[in-house]
Formats: sequence, C-alpha cells, structure tokens
Amino acid sequence: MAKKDLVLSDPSQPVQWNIVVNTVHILGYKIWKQAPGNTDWELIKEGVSTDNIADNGEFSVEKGAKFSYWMGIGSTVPETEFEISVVLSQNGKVMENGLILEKGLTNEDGVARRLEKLKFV
Amino acid sequence: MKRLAPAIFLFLSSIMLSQETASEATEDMISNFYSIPDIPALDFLSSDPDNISKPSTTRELVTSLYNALDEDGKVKQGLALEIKPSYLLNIPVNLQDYQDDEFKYMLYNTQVSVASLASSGDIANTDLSWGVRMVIFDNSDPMSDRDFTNMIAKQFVEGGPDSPESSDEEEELKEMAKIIKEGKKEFVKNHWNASWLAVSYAGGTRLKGSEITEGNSIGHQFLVAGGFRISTFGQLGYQAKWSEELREETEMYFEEFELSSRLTIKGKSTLNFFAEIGYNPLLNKEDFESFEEINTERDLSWLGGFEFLITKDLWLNAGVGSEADRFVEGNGIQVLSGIKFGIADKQRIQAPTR
Repeated sequence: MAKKDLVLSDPSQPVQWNIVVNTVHILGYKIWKQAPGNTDWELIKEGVSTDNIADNGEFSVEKGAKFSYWMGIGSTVPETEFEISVVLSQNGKVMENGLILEKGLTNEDGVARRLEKLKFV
Repeated sequence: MKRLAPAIFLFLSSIMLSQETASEATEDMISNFYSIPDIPALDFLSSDPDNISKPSTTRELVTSLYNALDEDGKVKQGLALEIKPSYLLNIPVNLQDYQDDEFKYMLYNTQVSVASLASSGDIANTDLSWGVRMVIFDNSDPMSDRDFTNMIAKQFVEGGPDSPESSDEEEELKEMAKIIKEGKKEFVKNHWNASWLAVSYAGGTRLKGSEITEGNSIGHQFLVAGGFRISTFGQLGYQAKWSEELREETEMYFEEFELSSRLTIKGKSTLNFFAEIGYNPLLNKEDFESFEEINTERDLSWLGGFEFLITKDLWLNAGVGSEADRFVEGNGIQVLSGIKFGIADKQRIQAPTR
C-alpha cells in the first residue's frame, strides 16, 4: 500500500522518529532526509535493532522536504512474517500518516528489504 | 611404524577399491536419532503431505478446521495443520523477548499439529492424529544469541545503500542472504555441542467410516530429547521415549520405553569419537509371549566408533557394538577384529540437534 504524505503540524518544531521491531527478526536500518529542491540525501541515522541503543531521535525539517528509510530484515528461519513500526511525531504526538507499519514475509533465504520515500507537507 | 604403514595402506585400499562410489553417507542416522519430530502429528502417521496449512489467526484456524470436514461431516483425509499458539493467543514476541524471556521463547517455539490419513487396510476409515512440540531451550539457536543477531544486523547496515537513490533490491537481498548463510554456518560450527532440551507428544485415533464420533485410540507417544555441552570438545546427548501404539499384526497395543544416551567427542576436525548406549524394553511383554514372531526380550544395545578424515570428502569410519551397522554402512565394509570399517564421503558424527 502506498504511503501517504506526512503532515507537519508545526514546521518550526523538530520531528521525532522511532523504529520498533515487533517480531523475532534482525533489523539494520538507515534513515535520510532531503531538503526541498535539493537532490542530495542527508543521513540522519544508521543503526541496528539488536543492540542496547534506542532506535529513536529527532531532526528538523521543512514543508516539501522528503524522508526516506531503508531496512534490511533477516532471520535464520526462512519465510517468516515480520512487522516493524516506524513512528514519526511532533511535540509528542504522532503526525498524521506518521504511524507506518512494515509487514511482510521474508524470502526463502530468510531476508527482506524495504525502501520508502515520503514527503512532508 | 614403518612396518605398519604398508599394511594400513593395503587395508585402506581394499576398502576404497571395493567401494568405488564411497557410500554416499546416506542420511546421518547417528545425528538424526536424537531429535524431536518437526511436526509430531504427521510423524505419528508417517504422513508426508505436499501442503501443510499454517493458520496464524483464530479466524484462519476456524476456517481450516471447517474445511477439514466434508459435506457429510466426515473427516477429510490428507489433512495437515501446523499451529503456533503464540500467534493464535496474540501474544507478541519480539527479538528481545526471544533472547531474554524464557517463557516467551518456549511459547514461540511451541507448535501444535493435526493430521489425517486413510487407515492402512481400509481407506473408508481415517487415522486422525494430533501433536505438540516444544523447545524448552536451545543454545544452538542463533536467533537467541545477542552477539550473533547484532553481528548480522551490523553487516546488513554495512551492505546497505549510501542513499535511497543508489539502492538495488536484488543485490541487497543477495548480499543479506549471504550474510545470514555464512553467519549461521559459523555459529553452528562454534556451537555444535550447545545444550538444548525439547519435548514432544503425539496421539491418534482411528475414525470408523471417517466419522468424528467413531474413534478408537491408535496410540500415544511422548518424547524428551536434549544435549549437555561438555567444555569445548564434547556433548552428552540423551533421549527418552514412551509409546503405546496399536500394531496391525496383533491388533494389540505395544507399550515401549526407549532410553538412550550418546557421548560425542570432536577433535580438531579430522578425528571424532562417539559412544552410545540404549535400552528399549517392551513394557507389556507378557501380552505378547504367545506371539512367536514378536521379540519380547530386548537387550541393552550399544555402539561406539570413530571417523578419520583421510582426504577431502573421504572419511574412514569404524564402528563396534550391537548397532555398528547404523554407523558403518554401504558396500565394501571390512571387518577386522570385530570392528567394522567403511568409507563415507562426508562426516557422519554430528551433534544431535533439535
């Protein structure tokens, strides 16, 4: 299902992000932002869900900017159902269209990959 | 030693020449003996269906069970269901729970199964079975190891794209599959003797005319299997099985108990040893004393052996004991002083795994 644009309630406030893996899977991820009218992507964070470091943070953004995430998902067991939540919020409130659920099935090698680009409006 | 060398050479040559196609090591009977069935209900009926239904919600389960009956309310044959209670009970288990919460680990690794098959001898009847398998703990499970999962995740990130524009799904999936495969291979190699414990149960009934209300028990079996790690070089495997099974030839129930244990010692990768002992008494042997064709007196069985890597993909194996054929098999077996020698194209002494 195509993801919808992310609605900024207050462009002067930073956007908080949080990634949570809800199933028994390994996750490596990268997140970027792109300023309006710019072709370069700026890396916000690259991380893993398997360490003790929280998978959240914040970044500043303006209307028309883009947000992207890449996820490498894996398990030693093939063809298992995974579920990962990406939550984007402002001032502690989830943004409109800011709760994204990535669901699917790993392939016969036990891996899956997700790439998404979203626009802030 | 110089005098022995030609004799050893001749001995090995005689085995190898008589076995031009080094016995393709067949199945690793030595390893597979200590394990619990993947799907106990199917194992109980010795059924191997093409499709196994895996309902993951209560709704899907109800649909599967409904579809298991025909329009007359009779049980269909060829049914195979594998159910994970953690999905049905909607108890979320994530990787952290899997690694830190023993109860959730056990729940996640619990599976219920149901199967049906035409009864042997009368296809109008249906054998219906049910089973449960549960892994209590397993230190050879890579997903339960934080170091392993962390290493894999970091490698995923290293192999990830530099920007969303440079991402190539096919290449990334291929790279991640390689990371998982190689990481798992290394983990298994380093944890071959890890401790583990698993249990399973299966039972069944014969439905006359496939009617769900017309069942007669065909038996039950309960199995416990596991292994204890011994330092870096060994593992003590064990298995206990109790079963009560209807035997076609007598129309009576066999009640058996099977207890066995195996010590495996692995060397630097070229020389491995093992020793195994087993006891399998017929608990109700007095019921069968009038049947001459049934062996009611069971002895202690034992087996010991070693394997030695001669060259790449060529192992010399030797076994001694009442069950030696289980380890040394194929053509060209040589017997020397009661010890059976053979050649295999791959290693046969593996640690028992779930």
